Amino acid sequence: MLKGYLLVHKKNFVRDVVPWVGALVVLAFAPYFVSASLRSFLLFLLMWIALSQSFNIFTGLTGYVNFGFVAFYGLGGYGMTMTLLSLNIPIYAAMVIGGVISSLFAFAISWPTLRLRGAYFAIAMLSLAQALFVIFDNWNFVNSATGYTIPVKYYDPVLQYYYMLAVAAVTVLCLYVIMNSRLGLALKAIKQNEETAVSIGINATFYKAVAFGISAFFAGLAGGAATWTITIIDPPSAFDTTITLTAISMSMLGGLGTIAGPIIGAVILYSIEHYFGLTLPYLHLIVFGIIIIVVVLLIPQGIMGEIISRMKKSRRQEVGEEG
Amino acid sequence: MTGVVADNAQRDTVLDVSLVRKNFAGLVALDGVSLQLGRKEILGLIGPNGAGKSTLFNIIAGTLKPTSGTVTFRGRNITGLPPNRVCRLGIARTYQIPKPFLDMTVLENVYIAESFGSGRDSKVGTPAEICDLVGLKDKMHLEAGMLNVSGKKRLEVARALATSPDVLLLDEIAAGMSPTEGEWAVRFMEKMSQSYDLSIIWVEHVMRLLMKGVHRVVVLDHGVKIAEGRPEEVVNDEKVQQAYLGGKLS
Amino acid sequence: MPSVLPGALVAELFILGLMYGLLYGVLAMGLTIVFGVMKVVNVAHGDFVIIGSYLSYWAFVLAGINPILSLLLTIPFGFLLGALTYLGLIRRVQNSPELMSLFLTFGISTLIGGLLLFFYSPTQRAVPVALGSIEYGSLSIPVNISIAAAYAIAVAIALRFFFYRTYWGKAVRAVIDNRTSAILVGINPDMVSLKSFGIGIAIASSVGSIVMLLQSISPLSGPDFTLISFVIVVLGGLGNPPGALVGGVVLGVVESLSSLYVNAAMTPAIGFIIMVIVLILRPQGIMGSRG
Ligand SMILES: Nc1ncnc2c1ncn2[C@@H]1O[C@H](COP(=O)(O)OP(=O)(O)O)[C@@H](O)[C@H]1O
Ligand SMILES: [Mg+2]
Repeated sequence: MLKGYLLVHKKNFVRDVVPWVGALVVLAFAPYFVSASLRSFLLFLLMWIALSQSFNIFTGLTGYVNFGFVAFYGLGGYGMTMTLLSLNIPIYAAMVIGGVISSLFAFAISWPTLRLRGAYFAIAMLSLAQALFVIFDNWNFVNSATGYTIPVKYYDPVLQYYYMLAVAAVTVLCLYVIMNSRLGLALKAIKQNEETAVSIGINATFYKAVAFGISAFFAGLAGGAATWTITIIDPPSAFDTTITLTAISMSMLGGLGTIAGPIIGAVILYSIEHYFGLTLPYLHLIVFGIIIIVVVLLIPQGIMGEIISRMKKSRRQEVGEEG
Repeated sequence: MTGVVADNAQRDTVLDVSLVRKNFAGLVALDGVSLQLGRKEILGLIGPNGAGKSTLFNIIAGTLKPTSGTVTFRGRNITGLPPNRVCRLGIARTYQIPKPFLDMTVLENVYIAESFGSGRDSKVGTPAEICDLVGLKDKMHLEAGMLNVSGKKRLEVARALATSPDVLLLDEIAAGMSPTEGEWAVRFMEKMSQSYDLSIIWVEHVMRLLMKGVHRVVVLDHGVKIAEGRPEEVVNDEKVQQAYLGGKLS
Repeated sequence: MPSVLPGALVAELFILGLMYGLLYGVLAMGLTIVFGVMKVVNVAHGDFVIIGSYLSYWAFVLAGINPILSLLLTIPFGFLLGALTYLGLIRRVQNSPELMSLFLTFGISTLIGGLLLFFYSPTQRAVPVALGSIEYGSLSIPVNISIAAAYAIAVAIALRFFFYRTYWGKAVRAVIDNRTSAILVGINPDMVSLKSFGIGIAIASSVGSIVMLLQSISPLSGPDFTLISFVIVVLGGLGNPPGALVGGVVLGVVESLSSLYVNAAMTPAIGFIIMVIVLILRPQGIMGSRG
């Protein structure tokens, strides 16, 4: 009974699994029923779900603010495009290679950067992403400022949709698996108090690096899938700080460190962006800014975080009454 | 009786701190401190504020690297190992200022320590049993942040025990407890030490309490070991009385 | 790359780097004072620069006011804006985890950038004032950069006076040094935070006026100024105002001289790489003390 109360709350199949499978089925059949423009809307919504969720895998679970998140997206996009163009391999393989490249980059920089705490880490990551932009913009190996175009022969909007759906679904599933694993337990401790976590035998350096690498992998996959869809990649689009900003806003609004949160945030904010982006450019930035400010001041745990902590409180009251 | 244990300790050393020195910017916090901890021994470590007691714990636990000197655990040099490795080897510590996982329940705090820790089978008991042992049974489902000082100190002990250690470093756990609770803590540690083969270094600012439970005392002052011996010997030591500016000891 | 470096060129680049470095160093001082006092990293610092730039731009376009003169506008306006931002927003996250203040100022940055883009579009704006250059023998130093350096020196002197001669300045230093003991001796930390945030933003937006003498700007330039301030602050040690000035000069000179060897477009990357190396080797900054 105790174990049941602890950490893993009572499993409820209908409540926990059915909505997810339902959503997946609906999204899987959507292309047969919806217009091309709605399909494209859903595709980018799925991309934002994948991105805000991979942001969440690291920042949500560890509490380290990754202001350089877009680097993972951009490297994945470049990795995918360059392997596709030079090796002539299937798209999915190129995408995985893009994810792996992004992940390797994360591991490479994890040793110096993950020793930094708080603001230092945030600043270092922001600068690294900016440095990547400057380097790519001037580096002939990656075609400098020109970037690349995906050849027309790869054009297949329906397939692109399914790839993005797969990326989003696997990212969400992976977050779920992590949160219910030993890795998730370690990260939870690290997020709350790293010094204490280390003092009870948790190898924080290792677990943080793993989460960092996984986050980078999925952001890289999403970057690859997005590049395939957009068909163009160059330094300003691949390392656009707005992508970090959007992933942050979405996961903050929905609730960092929760599974449903970033998805809810993505649905709300991408709908806003899509709507205003078409009618009034830049208005969505104002809305994002206000939302971040309001969330920080009023519901710092985000929508889902708030709901969960209220549920916990009421359950604790029940337990208190019983005991 | 105490003498016998102390003599045994000499022969069966678990932890050996040798000539440890620690400089902070412009300050010598520890100046060549050596001490040995025997198996099942409870060693009191006392000294005025700022003597370097917590710094020594940080060095043993791997939180700080010593400027020079070595720490040997069961014949193995562990100087400079990171804290998580030290904990896995079987040395657990509490913090003078409690550092629980504030938003988790007491039970979750202990559960995580048990899941990681030294990685051995829990020798003291399940997380819930440990909560019960330290007297937090009815606060198990409270968030750690809601505990009072005494509760937080007990949680420090519970978390350390849950890692299944061989050596326990206790940093002022009785400060913030009532005198009765302090007495309880002394008896509790004696019992833990005997039942679970634990060796303990116990830091307390005030000596009075410790005198009842510890086998041996080491006194630090300004980073220097100024006395070592059985409690009753140390109390009467002139240098120790000077360090405490008289009176405070009894 | 020239095969033989003419001494005059090196000297000129050195002086230019020094002058730019002073201006950016002073800008970074604004960031580091805020961090030192409140432990808040203001991600919106550069966006307040752009606010100042726009004020000066419109003052020039609408009333023909020279950007130097509009300092009289941007300094008090910046202080007021900073004080209000502190009272309305920053104060509420003072006791929250650091993550929250990072997100909050990130939100402020997004909001300012969004507002400026929405109303003024991403068009580059410039104030057409030609100031020419002063020639010293074979050296040629542009007047606008000299003015920037002079302004930076004036601000640095004013700050030094403030820090060492006034009650609130000493209070700010005391809080940076040790917040708890500062409160114990009766300093009002809330007032200190208010004034530091005001000063930090006044510095940022007044630098914005000076920037209008040097280059064109757009709402998208804000993050560039934030990043350069970050780099400098890290070089000088977070929360160390004199360190920021030194860090600014070091960065300015290194970047300027490096243009002899690498493509000028790459120089920002040099700054970032220096910063990451410093973060790894000496997280307390090149000026900070160890321990
Ligand atoms: N991280 C640190 N940096 C600088 N000085 C420190 C640090 N930790 C402790 N000190 C100093 O070292 C001395 C010993 O401190 P400490 O070990 O906490 O003493 P105790 O626990 O015996 O009261 C004190 O003067 C303290 O100010
Ligand atoms: Mg202490």
